[in-house]
Parts: sequence; structure tokens; C-alpha cells
Amino acid sequence: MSIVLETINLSRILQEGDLKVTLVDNINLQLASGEFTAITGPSGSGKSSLLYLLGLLDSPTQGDLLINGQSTTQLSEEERAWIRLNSFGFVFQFHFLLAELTVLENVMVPMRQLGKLTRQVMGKRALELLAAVGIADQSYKRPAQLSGGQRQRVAIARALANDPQFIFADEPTGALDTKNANAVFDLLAGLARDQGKTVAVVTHDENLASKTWRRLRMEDGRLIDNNLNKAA
Amino acid sequence: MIPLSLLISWSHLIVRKRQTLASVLGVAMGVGFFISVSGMMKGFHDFFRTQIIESNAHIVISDEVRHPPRQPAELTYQNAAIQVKRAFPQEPVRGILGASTIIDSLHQQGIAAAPVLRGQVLLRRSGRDAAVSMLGIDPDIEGTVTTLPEDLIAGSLNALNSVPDGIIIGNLLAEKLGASLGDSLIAATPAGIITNLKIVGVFRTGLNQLDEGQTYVHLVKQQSLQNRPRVINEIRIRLPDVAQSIPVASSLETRWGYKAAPWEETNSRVLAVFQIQNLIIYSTVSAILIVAGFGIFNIISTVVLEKSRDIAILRSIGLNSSNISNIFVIEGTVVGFLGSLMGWIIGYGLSWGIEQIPAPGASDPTQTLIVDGSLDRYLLAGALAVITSILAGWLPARKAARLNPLLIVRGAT
Ligand SMILES: Nc1ncnc2c1ncn2[C@@H]1O[C@H](COP(=O)(O)OP(=O)(O)O)[C@@H](O)[C@H]1O
Ligand SMILES: [Mg+2]
Repeated sequence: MSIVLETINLSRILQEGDLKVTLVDNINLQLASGEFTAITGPSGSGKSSLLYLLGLLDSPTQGDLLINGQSTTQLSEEERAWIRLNSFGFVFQFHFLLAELTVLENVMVPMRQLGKLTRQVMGKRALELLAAVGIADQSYKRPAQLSGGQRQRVAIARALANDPQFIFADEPTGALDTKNANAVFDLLAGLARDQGKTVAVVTHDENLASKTWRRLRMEDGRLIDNNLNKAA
Repeated sequence: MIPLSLLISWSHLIVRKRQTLASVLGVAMGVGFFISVSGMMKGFHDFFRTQIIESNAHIVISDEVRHPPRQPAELTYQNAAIQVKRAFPQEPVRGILGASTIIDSLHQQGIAAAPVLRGQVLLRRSGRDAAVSMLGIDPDIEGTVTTLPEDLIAGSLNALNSVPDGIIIGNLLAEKLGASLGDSLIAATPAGIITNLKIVGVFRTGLNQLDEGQTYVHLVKQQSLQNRPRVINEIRIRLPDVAQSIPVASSLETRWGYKAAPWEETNSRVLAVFQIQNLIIYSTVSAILIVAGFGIFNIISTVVLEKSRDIAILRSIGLNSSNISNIFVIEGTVVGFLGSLMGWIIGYGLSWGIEQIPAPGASDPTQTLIVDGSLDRYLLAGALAVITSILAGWLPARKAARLNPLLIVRGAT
């Protein structure tokens, strides 16, 4: 397995006047293609902050982030948006679906922005993705008509819309019951196992985290354990 | 396929049907009022301007000079500071010297011109009197420079030739004096001549200044009444193209040395009033559009606030900040366009309605208000509305584009 994402002394320091908060502290980390990784740690330890850096939603104050060997620190906002659109898929604790659009249209949003496919092909692909997460029959409903578990599946389908190389999920099961949480987690695992996507999931649910192939542990912004599951 | 930003804009507008409709109506009202009210003003101005141009000469050459000639003492001692006491200033004989040469020259250029001797007269009839201007004219060619023949509502211009004591007065003056066609008036001039004049014609131009204060007699009669034989103090000119009045007037003035006033100068006060009216009207109707713009600004700002979660997820998906601001600029633009279209219909309807209203003060009872409905007016109103709406969308859109998506996704996790 090849290294597709690498951080070098990655730090994110927040400075507001005299107040200085270190969100991410000098992290060196490598993710390989097809790897399913959990990022764990206590609340406030900097898991989300690290994930946003990896996902190019935030910029480091020090260090570098290499994606497929390319440095990202010099990229413009437009270029970073372009990489997110093409190669990244995000899932958050809350689904963030657009309430005015149907489920199907929501899944098509990233495809429309990319604009590579025709309308018909997009619709077909969106249906396939919804079928893959098990809610094809909900395609023409509005998000408000769906249950929490169903909405999170739509969010996963949307994250997959442009067939991204990476999936970044921040507490994707945080608002779900155990049954739904397990189902969503299995979906994410399948993406890595069957499609070779690099999947990184932030979670404080140690039970779920133990199901991943690799478990990172953070404390106070630092990476204190790099491969907990294998060691175990 | 519909671009993403348009789809999202549209979904925002559709969900807020009532607010969207209200802001579209606001713009439509602004556009409608802009078109009809400014059109009414323009219609009125055009009507009035035509009246002025028709009833007056296009250019009047008069026996005045713009700068008084320098006195002999000043000519002798150039550049000196002179104070002459008890000197009689040189007073030239008033009147246009060589008027017939000027008129002949104009006629040769194909420009209509007619001689006039203008003077004052006091008219009296059964105890009522009026001090008015009296113009001695040549009845045979007066029709080539003004519309006096067409303006006559009683009598004829030719009667000035057959009735030596004939006078033509305006309808308002006739009312004021209680006189009508065929009646006699007592006339007294500054030259001290008192005589009887008989009304042989009554005219109406629609311009009070003329209908109440201007009278006509035969040129020869006027010269004797004013005791200024053979003198002409005005040449009235009508051009084939009235738009040329200013350049032609200035070249005439240069050539002959007498003051040549185009109609714009003679009526400068009226034209200045027009300009002030335009300023008031246009600022009022534009203000309506600006108010409509505030409405749009308000609504789109609310949408931006409500949709900050959507903005955050769209940013994380890979829309850049200009993609985001486009969404809201499009919303403003759509409202502007819909409002303009609807406003054109409203403006057309209002204009039609106004044109059914009888013109106040018009002597012709079938005369209604006139609304200028030129396409320019519709385009201008539409363009102003769309620009205002785009701006009203752009201000909140800029805020949306600057929104940091992390504050949202982080806040929710
Ligand atoms: N904008 C911010 N201003 C101040 N402190 C912040 C801000 N964002 C995050 N933090 C702090 O940084 C630390 C790390 O936050 P986060 O990455 O969300 O942790 P986790 O996801 O592990 O719970 C927390 O203590 C949090 O309160
Ligand atoms: Mg977190």
C-alpha cells in the first residue's frame, strides 16, 4: 500500500491577541491508500482540528501536508476548493443536507459543481449511490422526511458523489443510535476495503474505533499513539 | 443543465414565495412608477416645448447688443482708469439698421424671416385697461415664422391689410377687457398717440404669456403709432430644423452684430423649470427603486444568515467563495429581472390610465394628459432596477463568501 497523505511537523496554533491556543501540535502522520483509520482521543484533544487540516478546510500555521506527494501549503483558496471537490468527501456529525432539495438532488450537488457528467448520468449515478447506502427508495423525498440514520446515509452518498480518493468523517455516528452507528461505520469500512479509498474517521466511541484497522490517539493536540489496533 | 448556483438560488426563492413575491412587487412598483411618472413629465414637457417652438420664432434678432459700445473717452484713453463726470453718453438711434438686407440675406439661404416693430401699448375698453406688448407685423409673411394664422380662433390675419386700424389680440386679453371680435379699443402708446383700434382677430396659443400679453397690428400702423417711421427692432426667424437654433443664432450674431436669441434663450426660465421638475421627478422615482433595493437587501441578508450551514457544507464540498457569492447575487438579479418585467407591464398600464385623464386647464375638453412611452424609458427603468437589485444581492453575498465554514462545522460537532 502506497502513502497518499503525509504530514510533516504539522501544527495549527490559534492566536487571538495574547491568547495562544495550540489546536494541533507538531504531528507527523502517514495514511496509505485503502486504509481505514480512526482518530480517537478525549473531547477537546484536537481530533476535529487535525481532520480539517487533512481535509484542506483549514491551513496549518507550521509544517506541511503532502497529498499524493504534492505539498499543499502554497495552494490558493481556489486550488484547495478544487482538490476538495475532486478528491475529498466529507461527512460531519450533522448531515448538512440542503433542505430545499430532494435527496437525489442533494447527492447530485458535488457532481453539478464538478460538471463533468450529463444530467442523465448524474441522476443515474446518484441513484446507484443511494442504493449502495440502502435508501434508494427515499430518493425523491426531502431531507426533513427522513430519519437521522437515513440522512447520514444520504450525506455519505453525497460524499461519494465525485468518487473521491479520500473520505474524512468527523463523528459521523455521534447523533445516531447504536444500530445505525454500526451500519454507518460498516459502510465506511466497505469503502476502504472494497473501493480502496483512504478513510479517516474521528470518533470518541472506542468500541467503534476498535473495528478499524488502525487507531490513532490524540491528547492536547499531540499524536500519542500511531497504531493502537495493530499493537493490540 | 441548470448550473448549481442557479438551482440553489432558485430553491431559496421558491421556498420563500411570499417574501420573494413582495420584493419582486417592490421592484415592479418602482419600475412602473418610474416609467409612468417620468413619462408623464416628459410628455408634458414635450407638449409645452412644441407649443413654445410653434408659437414663437426660433430665433429673434433684436436691436440690442450684448455689450454696450464703449464711450469716446474710453476709446481715446485705452486701459486708463477714467471717470467722466457730466458727460452725455452716446445714445445710438434704436432699431436694426439694414434690417431688409438681413432679411433678404436670410431668405436667400432659404430661412424664413419677418420684420417686427415691438413696442408698448395701453389698451382700454369701458374702464378696463391692460398694458401689453404690441407687435407690428407684415401679415403676408408672418405665417412663415410663427403659427399665428393657425392660432386664430376668430377673424383673420389678412384683415390687418384691409382694416388699417385692425388689431389682433389673445383670447385671455379679450376676456380681461371684455371685448370680442369687431369691438373697438382705445390704444395709447409711449409716443403719446391715442387712437381707436378695432379687433379683427383673436388668437389662442395655450401659452398665457402670449394669450394675455401680446397683440398684433400692421407693421406700418405700428411704426406710426410708435412714431418710429421705417424702424424695425426685431427680425423673427423660423428655421427648417429647430435643432440648429443655437449655432445659427450665434453665427447670425457674429455676422450682423445684433443680439440674436435662439428660443432656448428667450425661454430659458421655462427650460430651467423643466430641469428642476426633471430633477425632482427622477430623484423621487429613483428613490422608490432604492427602497425596493433595501427590501431585497433585507431578504437576501436573512437568507444568508439562515443558510450559513448550507454555505459551510457547500464550501467543504468544494465550492469556492465566488461560487458562494454567485448564489446570492443571482437571487438579487432574478428578483431584479422579474420585477422589471412586471414593472414594465405596470408602467404600461399606469401610462394608459394617465392618458385617459383630461388635461387640467386645457381649453380643448378632449385633450388628455400625454405620457411619453418611448422604449428608452422602459430600458432605463429596467436597467436601474436590475443594477439596484444586483447591488442589493451583492452586499450580503460578499458576507456569505467571507463566512468561515469551520465556525459552522466545528460549532455543530
Ligand atoms: N476557534 C477556536 N477558538 C478557540 N479555541 C478553539 C477554537 N476551535 C477549537 N478550539 C479549541 O481547540 C481544542 C481542540 O478542539 P477540537 O479539534 O474540536 O477537539 P475535538 O474534536 O478533539 O473535540 C478544544 O479545546 C477547543 O475548545
Ligand atoms: Mg470534534
